[in-house]
Parts: sequence; structure tokens; C-alpha cells
Amino acid sequence: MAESGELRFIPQFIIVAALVLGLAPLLAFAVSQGGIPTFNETVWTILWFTLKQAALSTILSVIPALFIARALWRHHFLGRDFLLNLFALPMAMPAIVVVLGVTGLIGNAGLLPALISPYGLGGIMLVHVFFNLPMAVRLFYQALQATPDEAYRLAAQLGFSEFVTFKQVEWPQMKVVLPQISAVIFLICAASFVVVLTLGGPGTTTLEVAIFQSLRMDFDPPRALALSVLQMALCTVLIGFAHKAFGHDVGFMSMRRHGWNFMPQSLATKVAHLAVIALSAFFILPVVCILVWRGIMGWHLDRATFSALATSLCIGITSATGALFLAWPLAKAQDSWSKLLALSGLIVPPAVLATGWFLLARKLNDSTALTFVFITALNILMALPYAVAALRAAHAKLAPLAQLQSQLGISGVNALRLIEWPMLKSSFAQAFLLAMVLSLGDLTAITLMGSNGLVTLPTLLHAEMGHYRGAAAEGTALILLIICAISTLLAQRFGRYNAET
Amino acid sequence: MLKLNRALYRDKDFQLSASFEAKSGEVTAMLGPSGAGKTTLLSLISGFASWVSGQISVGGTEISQLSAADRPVSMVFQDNNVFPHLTLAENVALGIAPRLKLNMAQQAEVEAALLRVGLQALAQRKPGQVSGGERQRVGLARILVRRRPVLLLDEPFAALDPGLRRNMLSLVADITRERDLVTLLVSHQPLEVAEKAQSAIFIYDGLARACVPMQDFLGDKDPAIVAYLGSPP
Repeated sequence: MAESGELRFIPQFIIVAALVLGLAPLLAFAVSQGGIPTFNETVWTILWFTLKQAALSTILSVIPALFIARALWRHHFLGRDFLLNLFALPMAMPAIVVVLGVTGLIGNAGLLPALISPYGLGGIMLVHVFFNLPMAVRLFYQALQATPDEAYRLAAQLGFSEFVTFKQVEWPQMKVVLPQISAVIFLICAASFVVVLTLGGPGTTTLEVAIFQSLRMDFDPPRALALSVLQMALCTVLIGFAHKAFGHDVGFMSMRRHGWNFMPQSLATKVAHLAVIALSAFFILPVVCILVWRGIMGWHLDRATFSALATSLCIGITSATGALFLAWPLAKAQDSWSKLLALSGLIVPPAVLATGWFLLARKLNDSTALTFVFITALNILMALPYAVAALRAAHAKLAPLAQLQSQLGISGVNALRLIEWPMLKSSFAQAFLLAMVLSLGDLTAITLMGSNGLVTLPTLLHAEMGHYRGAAAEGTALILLIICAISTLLAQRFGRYNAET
Repeated sequence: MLKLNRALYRDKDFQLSASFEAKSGEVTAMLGPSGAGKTTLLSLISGFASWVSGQISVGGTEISQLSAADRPVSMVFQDNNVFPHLTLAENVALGIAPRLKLNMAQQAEVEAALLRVGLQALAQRKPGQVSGGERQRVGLARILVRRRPVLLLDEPFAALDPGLRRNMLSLVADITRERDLVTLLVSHQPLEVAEKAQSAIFIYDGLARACVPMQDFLGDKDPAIVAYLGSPP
């Protein structure tokens, strides 16, 4: 498509403008408050807890995932595809819904009380593992899918034992992606907001939450500045490791039975595989089941719920549309600035950005419409890394056709109509749904910006939880869960279609 | 000697039956149009897929009930014959010691095999640091240390330049003679393998025909073979 040089960089310009609009007021404010960042004892304690909780969550997610992925890969059984699809669900579940499910399972009023407290380090780690272990399983599984058939034929012919097959065939495949997967999970856990806000406490808070609290509750800009500097440095370093794997779990390759699995398996191996698989399912299913069961019990569709649903859908669809418009040019761009900007929602802490915009909004006309714009903008930035990753994979499919296309002189609208849209529509749908799910379940942006009268499903749920209206909360959570699950399954379907064509 | 007696394979619509004898010390070319089942036939002999019925024996011993690891067969694939994270020497050593714990005698055997295929100088390199032809030589060196009487080659040289392909073919023919192997070579280049292969098996229309001397095959007036070879210029 012929595009003029100036127009091409509009998305990049919009993102930079959004970042500047957030960072500049905050910096000005911090300076006006006599703001030299103060790196005191409190700040270091918060940093230490952030790192400790992220490291533990990562280890507890990644190491079991290695074995679960291998067991799923090597053991073919009815329901395996279902399980792999089930493992896509936690990523789509809004954090606040998972928090409700976990506290319902192991809290004071839970089914299994007294195992561990859902609050503090234990609970935060549990929820983080719930989110990230399934994602790690899927990413390792994808790495295993790249194993050449011949490797297994050789292993069979050379009489490799189970251990040697793991060491020489499977571990080398997984080892390559291990650092990236770990970095992605570490990043997600280190920047986690809603989970830590709801389950953490004074001694158990992370940088992201502490930034929010020191600006909005304690009103301590120098400390917020120090925390922000640390958070941005941490995220930048992690992005350096993680960017290759980020948002990679978009669209599964074929999950058909792998045609060449010749390794004879002993009974002990089969039992071990099934045990690992059963344990992993047991980790996910109870939370989902309790949410569904109690959700049915507390099912209600009153006016407040409907209006919250409408608001959520409005924010979700607007954010997803905006994310697509920014993501497609970014996905096509090859320069490293564009790649960096696509990840800006991960590098610049949303808490920092939101506070800057919040200060800006105070100066401007403080209306609900403006809040809506800011919430949507923050959602777009947070969804962008995933949307760009999905579209970049799609764009790669067009590249081999570029020469043929230019030789035939197909360009502009014709290219879009004849080539790009037919080939990429499933990817666009997938990216749209991914971005929409993230925005629908969002509690981060709206908490950070202040709701200003806007009530979405997650804020309604959060309020109901806060007022001990358990049954109502569970009903609301189920509605959210259903919408997010359906959207994710659809996105999966589109992604798989995309991977197979 | 490798002998297939009314061996039958079936997978949905595809069917392949084979009865032939291939002699040891000879390279036998497996020829036929694409999709006829040449690769399938090698998979069946090496135990990566199973026959519906029939017998298959090596040196008079029935092998169809053996697992892939226990069959007296080595195979070199078109691609991916090496593990990319291991050195060439380690890749060869896997043929005798899957745990890579070698005694002195095994160590010497690996070195001798690398020397035989001309890779002695590259023994400590990783596959990514050598050429495609050198990677395929690793597969050949491994079959030398494995010492199995049947060698199956699934177009392992197809991606190489013509000169290199000739050299590799000569190497295969020499090894076959030295070790008295039954060598089956799948190829899409009948004229190129003609000088090194003593006999040929034509696979066409679900049937692997009997093994015939190479010259007889090239002069065969069977319409299917004539069509496959194309008219001479």
C-alpha cells in the first residue's frame, strides 16, 4: 500500500504524545513539591518484596509447567485438546474474578480453609501461578511442537531411554524459550496491580501498588517518584529479555495428534504423565468450578448490572477498536522504535501514566467523558503489546507474497480487498477479541484514573466484594467470566485457523 | 539379505504391497513417482509404521515384531539427522552410547568413523557451524558405529550440489561394499544414481516391484517406467 512518509508514523506519534502527557504533568508536579526522589528504607522494602514475590511466582509457574507441557505433548488421550484450551482460560479471566474464586476456595469462608491464607505473599503467589502456569504450559508446548519428527525417529532407532529422550530431544527445545518465558512471567508478576491491591497489605505490597498509594493516599510525591524510577528500570530490563516471547501465545498451531510418536512408553511413564496432567487440571478446575457454581447461585440481572455491562462493553469495544488502529501500523513497522513503543504499556507503569493524566484532568474540565477517554487510552496502551504480537504474526504471512503482489501491480484498496483482508481477517478478529477481553476485565485503569461515576462490571464486582455482598459479587463475576471465556475461545479459534492456513 | 514377502501396508485409501529381495554389498535404488510410497516403505522396514500382513526378514531372521531400536536397521533422513546442541562427535557417539558415556574402545570407534567420512577435523564443531553436506556425513558416520546390516537412505543428498552429491554417493557405495550392507537408497535422480546402484526397485501404483539389475531397469519397456524416466533426448 502506498502511504506517504508523514502519515505513516501517526500511531507512533499518538503513543509518544500519550506518554508525554502522562509523564510531564507528573514530573512538573513532583518538582513543584520539592521533589528529589527519596530512596529510603520503605522504598527498598517494597522493591525487595516485589522481586521476591515475582521470583517465587515465576519459579512456581515455570518448573511445573516444564513437566506438564512434556506430559501433555507425549501423552495422547481423549480430552487433551480440551485441557490445552482450558489452559488458555486463566489468561482471559479478569484478575478480580480470580481473586474472588481463590478467596472462595481457600479463604475464611472458603471450601478449604486453613490451608494457606489467601492474603499476603501466599495468596498473591497462588493467584499469579494460577494465571501464569497455564500460559507457560502452552508456550512450552508450542516449543515442543517445533521438534522435528526425525528427532523422535532417531531416538527410537538409537534406543534412547525416557530420560535420554528428554535430555537430548525435548529439553533442548524448551531450554531455548525458558529464559523468555521466565522473563515474561516475572514481568507480569512484578507489574501486577489488582491482585496485590486486593490480596496484599502493608508489608506485602509491590512497586506498582505503592506508586498508586503514595500518590493517592499518602500524598508523598518524592517517594512515588523513587518508586516509579525503580519500576521503569525493572520493567525495561525485563522487557529486554522478554520481548521475543511477549504475546507469543496467540493462536495455537495444530493440536492434532502428532503423527510420529514412536517411543515405547512404560507403564510407569504413562502413570507419571497422567498424574502430572491430573494435578495440573486439579489446579485450575476447582477455581473455575466454584466461580460457576456460586455464580449460578448468586445470578442476578438487575438494572445496575445491566448498566455496568453496557459501560464495560462500551469501554471494551472502544479500546479494542483503538488498539487495532494503532497496532496494525506498528505490526507492519520494522524499526526498533516502533517495536519499543508497542511495548510502552509494559515499560511505563500504568500507575505513573494514570497519575499524570489524573493531574492533567484536574486542570481541565473534570467530566465523566474525559475520564472515559483516559480509561480507554490506558486500556489501549495495556492491550497494545498483545494486539501487535497477534498482528505481527499475521503480517509475516504476507511477506512472501510481496514480490508477487508488486509484480501483478496489486496495491492500495485492491491489495486490501483481494489480499490483506481475506488473508488477515481472522488475525484482526483475534487481536480485537484479545484487546477487548483485557479491557472488559480491567480494574487497573479505572482504579488508577478514578471511576468518576463510571461503573463497569469489574468495579461493580469490586464494590460488592468490599461491601460483603458475596452472592451478588459471585453473580457479577460469572457474567464477566462468561463474556471473557467466550471471547477467548473465539480468539483461540481464529488464531488456530490463522496458524493452519 | 533383506527379504520382504507379500508385505502389505494400508492407511485409509493408500495401499502398498511389497515382495522383493535386496542383496548385501549392493546399493539398491528405490525409484518411482512422488507419492508412490518410497519413504513409507523405508519407515515400514525401520519400524516407524506397521505392516498389516506379510513377512520381512534380514539374513533369514524375521524382524517385523521387533521395536525400532532392536531392528538391524539404520536410517539416514533427508534432514534433521543431527541434534543441533551436540558436537558432531557426540552426535556420532549417540549411535553406540545414548548416554554419551564412552569407554576407550567406543571413543576410538567414533574417531575412526569420523575419519572414514572425512570429518575428523570438525569433530568438536556444532552442526550449525558446518555445511549441509557435512551434517549428512555425520549421519553416515553414525551408521558406521552402529554396525547394523541394513542401511536406509531417504534422499539424504537431495539438497546438495551435483558434485557433492556424487562424492556422497561414492562414499555410500564404498561403505556398502566394505561393510557388506544391504543399502536401500530413495532417489528422484535415477540417471545420477545409476552408476553407483547395482539394482533398482520400482514403486508404482501401490506396488513395490521385484529388485532388478540397474541396466535392466533403465532399458525396461514397461510404459509406467518409460513414463517415469521420460524419453531420452
